[in-house]
Amino acid sequence: MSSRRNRFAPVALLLATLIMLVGWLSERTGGDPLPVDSYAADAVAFTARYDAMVAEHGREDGAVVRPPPGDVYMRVKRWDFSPALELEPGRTYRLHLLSEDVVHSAAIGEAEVLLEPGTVKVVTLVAPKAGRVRIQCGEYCGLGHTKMIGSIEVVR
Amino acid sequence: MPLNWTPETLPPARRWELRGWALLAVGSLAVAGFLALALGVSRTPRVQDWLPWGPHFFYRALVTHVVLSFEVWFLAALGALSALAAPPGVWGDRLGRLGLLLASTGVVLLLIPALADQGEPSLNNYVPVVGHPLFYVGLGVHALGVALASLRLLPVLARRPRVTVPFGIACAGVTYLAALACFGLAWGLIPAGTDADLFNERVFWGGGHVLQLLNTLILMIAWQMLAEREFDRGPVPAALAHAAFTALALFALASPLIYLVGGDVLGLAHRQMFTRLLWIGLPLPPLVMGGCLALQILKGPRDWRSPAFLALALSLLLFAIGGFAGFFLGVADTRTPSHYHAVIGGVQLGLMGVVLVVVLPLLGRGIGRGRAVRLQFHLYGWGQLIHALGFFLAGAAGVPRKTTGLDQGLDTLWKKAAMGVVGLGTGLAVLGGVIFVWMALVRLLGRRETGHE
Repeated sequence: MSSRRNRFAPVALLLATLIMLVGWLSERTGGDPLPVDSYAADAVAFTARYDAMVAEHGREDGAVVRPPPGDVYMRVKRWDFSPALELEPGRTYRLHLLSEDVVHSAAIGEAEVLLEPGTVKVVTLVAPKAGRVRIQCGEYCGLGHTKMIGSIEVVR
Repeated sequence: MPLNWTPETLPPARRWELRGWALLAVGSLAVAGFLALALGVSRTPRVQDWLPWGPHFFYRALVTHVVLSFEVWFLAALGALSALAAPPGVWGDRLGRLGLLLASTGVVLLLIPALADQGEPSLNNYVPVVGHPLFYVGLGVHALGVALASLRLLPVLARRPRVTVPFGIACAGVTYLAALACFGLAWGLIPAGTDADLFNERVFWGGGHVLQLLNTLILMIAWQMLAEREFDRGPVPAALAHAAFTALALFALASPLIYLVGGDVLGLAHRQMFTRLLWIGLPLPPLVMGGCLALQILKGPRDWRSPAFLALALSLLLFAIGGFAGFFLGVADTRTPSHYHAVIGGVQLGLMGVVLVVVLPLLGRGIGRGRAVRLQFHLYGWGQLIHALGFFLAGAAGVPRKTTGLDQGLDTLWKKAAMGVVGLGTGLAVLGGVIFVWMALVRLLGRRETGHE
């Protein structure tokens, strides 16, 4: 009886290990877990749309932009997301994110999307009722990586 | 029914090799300890304003500190364990000697660029680097040396009757070889011309995760060795210990497959597969062994004057708290170093116990049970705990990791107080580390042996 009990625990541990191993190997997401659209970047056209947005809705020399719901353009480079955004609570925005130098990522809440230069990633964001939406680079991109945090505030 | 493992008196070749690995391990820790003191001081409010060095020193020191205390110390310890567990024989001795020579040469090489102020520091995860060819060559030569020492462990896996500690060490050797395979595969798969920061991050990402399985195995081997010494039996029955060691090695062996099935090596899915490895593959074996060790400690006898008992109790406490903190990580604040300083502190304490209680006596350089030994464990253990607590509180308040000076954004009293707690914990832990390194180095470097165990 004791011998059987002594054998049960190791067998159970190894069995659990094998099940978790198979689960781990087969649990591929196969792509960006954050639902995104993407399109090839035309740097000139993207910059023109960005500049137009800043000119129309920007303040503090364009560092902060309060865009209307809809398309919002964000430039990403070491170690900065620009511009800082002020969004209306409960409204839906489509963030167009373009990395201008190296591979970065945008970790928004618990989700993340990789940003490769040359491709614009579009993320749909519904602004919460209040507070801030944390947007941060999650892919190591140099010594300033940990400070690469964007500012998205919800303002009534 | 093999339970306890008492290594026979080592032949001269193995004694020489064991002493060499121990010197490499403890010597690396000594250099890392000096750097840790400098790092801690440079992050303490007010004190940091008086220091003569700037951010470049901080980053180079951080890279060197991490590589010495996180890679070289653990891998040299694996080399030392391999000298104890590898089957006797001329080829095993030759592999061991060559491995030690290469591993030591590698450390010297990788230190040159950092000390000569050459190369850009990169704070990528797991194996941060100084971007200079000598640094990479040094890392590679060091890794190759430990690989040669690990290769001779493979026959131990098939040996019957199976003895728990050598079997665990052989599983650690296999895990290390799997990590090397991941490094090699990543290096081969990453396209030429990839940005240096992204290259460093991804080349060390997969293998770096597998090294965490190795660190956990080393801790479990330490628990087994120390519990056999202290309680005359391991924390769990032998068959369960073998299963726990095997479980971690199985995940390590499967890890290179991710480079085949995990998508683009530069993609997000690939990165997240390895993140999940630590969530899925790592917790269960140390949970089983640690839980049983906790029961064993509760049952007693509890001899708080015994170095083996102190190493067991404090390493378990620190590792458990660090593991628990792992469930509350932020994205890039100091809660992450809080988690890994506690977890790795637990592994360090286990290894310190092995060096003081097993390795030094085997070399005829016993440490005894004096006050300094006990003080060392208390200072290091509680210091690491306070250090981790400070980082956790600071991170919860939003202090970013891997920053110094104004970049820390210490704009509230809470943040300043929390980082002050970090400084206090650092000081205590460094004191404990200094006592350990001093005691071990003095005995390892001394010519006289007090007697063989």
